[in-house]
Amino acid sequence: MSEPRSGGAYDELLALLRGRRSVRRFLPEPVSEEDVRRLLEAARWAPSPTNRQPWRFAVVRETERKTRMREAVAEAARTAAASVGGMVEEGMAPYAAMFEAFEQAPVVVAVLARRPSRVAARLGAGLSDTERAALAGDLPAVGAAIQSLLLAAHALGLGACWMSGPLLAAPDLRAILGGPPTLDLVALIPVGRPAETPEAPPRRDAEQLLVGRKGTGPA
Amino acid sequence: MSDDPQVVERVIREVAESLGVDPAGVSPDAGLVLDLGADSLDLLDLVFRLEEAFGIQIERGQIEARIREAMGGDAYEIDGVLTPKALELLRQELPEVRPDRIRDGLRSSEVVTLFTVRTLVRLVERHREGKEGQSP
Repeated sequence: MSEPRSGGAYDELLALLRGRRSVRRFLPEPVSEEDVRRLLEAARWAPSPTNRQPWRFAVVRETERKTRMREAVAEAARTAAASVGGMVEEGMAPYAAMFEAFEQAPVVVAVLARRPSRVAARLGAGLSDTERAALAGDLPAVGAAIQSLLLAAHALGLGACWMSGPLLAAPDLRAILGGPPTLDLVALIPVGRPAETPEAPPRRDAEQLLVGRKGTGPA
Repeated sequence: MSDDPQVVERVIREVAESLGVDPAGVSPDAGLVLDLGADSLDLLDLVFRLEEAFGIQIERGQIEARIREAMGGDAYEIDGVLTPKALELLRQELPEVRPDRIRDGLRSSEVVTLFTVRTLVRLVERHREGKEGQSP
């Protein structure tokens, strides 16, 4: 069955896409197990090349573990900033504080990924790092799962945020999270009832995103 | 024949990394497809990994070729289904696979789904022995 090009489901989808915000401040209300299950249900239906479903998730609720994670991130951010020094070190300071925001969320979903296929790496001679990662397909697929999870959170009235900054402490975080050491950490997603409704940051017009030769598609 | 513990450990590590599972949960007797959930691309990835890890070149279809050779002219399969004699030879060729998994009606295309971690270990050891034999 084909969907209409506008109206109905498309409008509902676009409203969800446009209404989603990156929420970093949360009310102290708990997030139910059922809501977490719904988030993961949405995430697992994301597309993945060759259906590898490379995403894995770790759910953290305990204050003690979240605090240890935050401390690891703070330490890693300090070390990273000091290693570059100068203006970059100063400029990183406000970001480093943002990296720690997940600690206040009732639930943190850590998103992990299977390591890419060696076959893709072997076939990817002459490709850029980004192209090789895209050929393997795992990382883009995990991004799709994150998007689905974020949209599901928004649809449930929850706030969430895609956080990559904490990956500065990825080795420590993986140790705290547990699970197979053969998975890589891709993002932390704090989830909770939102205590803020941030303004929508600007988006480039679709026209500005088109590159290359002009096509002959619909005007 | 006892398996080289270092080979077993390395194969388990490659399997765990390829499939994104905990190495501690990978037993040598685990079926790659039936127990660990590998798909056909995962198996391809594993072959690449083992080739890199052990410096060997793995060719396709060696197990089937050995069985066909041992069949002495008898049919290996009929309409894609392994004959009873082929099943018996497959049990001998893959002693590490639980016998109940080598069942009547098994299709030749399904043989690869029987492979265990130990099948890979034996594959590696066979190649290494062959390679050593060719060394000057």
